[in-house]
Amino acid sequence: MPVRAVRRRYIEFRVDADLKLTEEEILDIINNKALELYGVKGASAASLSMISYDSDGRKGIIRCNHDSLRRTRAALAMISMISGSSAAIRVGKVSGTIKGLKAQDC
Amino acid sequence: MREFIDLRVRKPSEPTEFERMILTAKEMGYRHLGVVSNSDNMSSENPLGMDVINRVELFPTSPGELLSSLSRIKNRFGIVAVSCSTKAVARQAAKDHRVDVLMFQGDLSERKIIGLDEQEATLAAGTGCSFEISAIELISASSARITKLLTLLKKEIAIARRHDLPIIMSSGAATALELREPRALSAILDLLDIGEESAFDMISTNPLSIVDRSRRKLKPSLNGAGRRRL
Repeated sequence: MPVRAVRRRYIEFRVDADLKLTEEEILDIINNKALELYGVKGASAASLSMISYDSDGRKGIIRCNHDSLRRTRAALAMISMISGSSAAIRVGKVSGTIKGLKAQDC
Repeated sequence: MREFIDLRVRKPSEPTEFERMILTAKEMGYRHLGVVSNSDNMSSENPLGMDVINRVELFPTSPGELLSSLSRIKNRFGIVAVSCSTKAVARQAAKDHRVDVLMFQGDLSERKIIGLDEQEATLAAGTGCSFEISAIELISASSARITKLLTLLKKEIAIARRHDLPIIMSSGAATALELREPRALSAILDLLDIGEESAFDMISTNPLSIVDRSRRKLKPSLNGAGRRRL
């Protein structure tokens, strides 16, 4: 069986804040925090990308490299303010595939 | 399976917010919470099933003040934490068996001098004291401050490890939004180059052993252990 060169992790998250944010804004906030904590090299190694985000439900799925999962979790945990208001990003499930995340829902 | 404990949650003045905090902590997978309350009459009427440990925090300015505070609060709290504001206070707290947790907070330039040193680590390890890191200090720090804070904490952690002084990690949250999941606290410890297993120990086995030790120390008449079933 072929082995994937890059292993990914899909992280389900929820934004606890009173603000309504777009997918791009959330990804910017997460990327900036990762950049602040781990620098350009660390942040780029994580290869963060937003898979989906529901701005009404404030829930989304972000993808990162398998090796950077703990760093991504740290970046998410270190977010305490969004646009000057108190906020937090809570991580739910983590899986190696989107299908896996959905399977955990059942 | 690990039992997680957040040993430092600051009780908000609003009871509804406190209830929200307990519910959030429970959802996150915590089984025990150390609640900072300077009153030993914490309500025991709460059907949420969280094990709440009464914690007192002392902010003495001199060793004498620390000693008198310790005798005043004798056996009334599950956890006694001391915020060390001077070197003399830190030394006294480290060698006193009544102190469970050493905290170093405040201005970074002062903390460079006051922070945990080899002597305090030796004394504290001998009395069963622990060194505490509060996540809120890191979470709320500005970009400029966090760099210096991480450097300081790394130095203190290295000293604590050299002397087998247990290290604990707590949230220091005062609202439900400031609480972080056990895995999130463990991930934050990645910033301090602490591996995942050691990080989990800092939010489960290390703080739980303090709670158990303190339980044994307290009089049976005082609710068995300074722990109240909420």
